[in-house]
Amino acid sequence: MGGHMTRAIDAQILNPDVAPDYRNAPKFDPMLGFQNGRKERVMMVSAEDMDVAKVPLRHRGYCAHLYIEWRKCMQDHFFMTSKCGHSKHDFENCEFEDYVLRMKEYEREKRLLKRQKRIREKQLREDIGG
Amino acid sequence: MASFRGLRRASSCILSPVIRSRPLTTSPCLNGGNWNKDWAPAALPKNEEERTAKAKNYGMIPEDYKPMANDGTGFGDYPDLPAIGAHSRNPWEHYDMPHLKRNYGEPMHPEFDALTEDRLDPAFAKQPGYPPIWKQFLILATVLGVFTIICTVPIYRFKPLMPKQYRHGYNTDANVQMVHYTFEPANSTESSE
Repeated sequence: MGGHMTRAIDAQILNPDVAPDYRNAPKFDPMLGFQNGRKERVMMVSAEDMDVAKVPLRHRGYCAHLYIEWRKCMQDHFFMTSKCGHSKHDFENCEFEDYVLRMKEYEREKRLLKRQKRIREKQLREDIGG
Repeated sequence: MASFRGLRRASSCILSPVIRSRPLTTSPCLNGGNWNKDWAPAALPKNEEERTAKAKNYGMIPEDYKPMANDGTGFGDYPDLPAIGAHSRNPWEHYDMPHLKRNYGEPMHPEFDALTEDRLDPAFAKQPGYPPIWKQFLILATVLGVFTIICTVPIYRFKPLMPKQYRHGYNTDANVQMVHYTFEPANSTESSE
């Protein structure tokens, strides 16, 4: 609970002005600070394919192709679903990588907000001084 | 009414295989008595002689015998014994009844059934080293106070995550094409995802 409480108190009571909005997408330009650009994420299945495979909405992210593969394996090897351990592991690994990426995005947003505040305060000091 | 006592006793004995339970006061098989006046509390001792006799009746020495206050609770001449639970008694003594920590013929407290080892012990809280009531209250108030603070301070606990990224939005609209990025440089040759 420690991390939860500390983070919540920091974001909602102590420093609410530099707390990222974790309910919505990042506000800053995704290329800000990347000299060499960023690699785009690749979606392996189309929306129609996901509809056909009846993928639940919560699994229609960038790991949907592995989810479909896993569920297909589960159907093919019914009663011997232990054979699908590898495809399940692939899917869960992908979800883990996705989770880490979201954490990185949060950290980036937090640091950019702090940087923005720092720049604004510096600007304000210069305005008052000048 | 006393003339019916023999009839009642006879009927009880005849019906005893049929009537399994009946009030204690009508039980003829107990020697304690079978009429209201037999269960009435005895009178308090008036002089030293009676006092000695009462003490002997309850298995005590006359110096220890002190009847309960005549305040209407109906204890009569029963001795006023200290409420000491079995927990406070010596655990190494060889008692006649080890599970009750009691010897045969020992005077019994009126609430003896509540003073066994697994139940109350009023003497335990009075011994030195036991936390006083204000300290116990302080501990309780601290716990409740922390609980109240956690429950009432309006903070929402969350995970340090941005929302999950969906190429076609949350409802999979094929016309929506959102662009998301990894943290790798665009010109790197390493494969990812």
